Amino acid sequence: MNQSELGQDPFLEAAFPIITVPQIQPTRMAMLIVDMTKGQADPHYGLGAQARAKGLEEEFRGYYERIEAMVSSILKLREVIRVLGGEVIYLRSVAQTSQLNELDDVYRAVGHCPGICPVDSTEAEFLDELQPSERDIVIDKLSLSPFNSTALDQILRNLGIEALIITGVRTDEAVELTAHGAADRGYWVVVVSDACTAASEDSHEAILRRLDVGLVRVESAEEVLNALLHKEWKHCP
Amino acid sequence: MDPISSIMPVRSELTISPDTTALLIIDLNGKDAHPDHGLGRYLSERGIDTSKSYGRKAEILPNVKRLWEVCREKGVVVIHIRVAARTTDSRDMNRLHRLMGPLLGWSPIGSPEREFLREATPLPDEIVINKTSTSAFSSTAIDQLLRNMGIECLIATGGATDYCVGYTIRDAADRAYRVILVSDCLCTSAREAHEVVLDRMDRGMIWVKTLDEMLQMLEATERP
Repeated sequence: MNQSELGQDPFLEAAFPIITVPQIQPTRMAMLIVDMTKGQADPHYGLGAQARAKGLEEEFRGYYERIEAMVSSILKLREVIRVLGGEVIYLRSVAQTSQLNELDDVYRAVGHCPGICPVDSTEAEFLDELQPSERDIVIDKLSLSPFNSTALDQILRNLGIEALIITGVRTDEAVELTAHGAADRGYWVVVVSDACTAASEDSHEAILRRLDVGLVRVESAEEVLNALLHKEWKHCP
Repeated sequence: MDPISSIMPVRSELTISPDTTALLIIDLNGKDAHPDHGLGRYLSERGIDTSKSYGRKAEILPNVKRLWEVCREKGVVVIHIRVAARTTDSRDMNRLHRLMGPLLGWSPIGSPEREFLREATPLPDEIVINKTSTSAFSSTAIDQLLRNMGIECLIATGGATDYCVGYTIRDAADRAYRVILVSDCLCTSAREAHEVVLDRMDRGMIWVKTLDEMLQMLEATERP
């Protein structure tokens, strides 16, 4: 059963049966790299620039430090997935018009999808260290979850993908909804605990606990790399 | 406060109109909400005390009922949502609910798990949506249905705030519906404090209101 340090819910702990995750071929896996763009993940742009303008740099310092610390894990996972023949899919929150006209007026005004930006802006560029290669797939979304504004589900089915390995930002927003949306559609999901992060560490921990049920497993980058290379998944019998 | 919230725009006050609003009553059926059926039965059979969680569910029922009555008076569309298979062998269910089995997952036709609680039984001409997933947006035509009816705002009640309700309304918000979570008409799993869960969601297209605040908003509107 899934353990949590804070707040055990006897319902969830007892009622969710131990679901046996099957062995899945790496060629049927896709690694998702969520919102690792300058606007979302680089302190000089987008959200970081807004924070600085409001004198809130300190509140965001931890977030950007955690992002920097996880880039190498993302790179390692990406390398291994590519070598094993899996897909690498980059997701980012971008609109095609400079004024974000494709968004509902209220949705735009309330900033529901924080950091969404025009596609030809610097904010929309992926971090320099994480540039996609020609073979990687890039999908632009207009919402937190790609299942609400993209053809991701269709694309994954076209590719024959059965399992997703999810990394990126933010754990309590796009990452959570991507992971849950995928599991709700029958995909097996691994969320890489130290290859994603949120602005609040508390939220990051709480959401990982919430996600770790049913078809979703939460594992560290090391555990996932080990499983990919040695075919020994922690959660498989 | 979450750092992201502190840099999001200040929202103007939400106003609603009954003819573009729908009340969602989520998962108040035997599977999750009745101590003798579904989850309640499964846990009781294993000697696990269920009183705290079902106590909370019982607490919210009169609140849901009150809100439901006012919504009907105002002409707000009422939609009841539950997890339920359309086949007798669950082959149409999503993987998770199928694996959870008939008692905990897919509520067979004719089972007490499938039935709405007595106090939450849909009235004639109300809409029932059977989903085969956690979020209603993953496995139903709810988005199309709401757009057909010109609905822009959803009022959410039922359970669980961090699971079935949460994921349904966050998908709705993601699709530009305005969503109101009525705090004393909702129950949350015990993994996190109810207030913490609500507080984290209270931004963007999701507003959190108490029952009193919600009733005031409705009273202030004209009946169509």
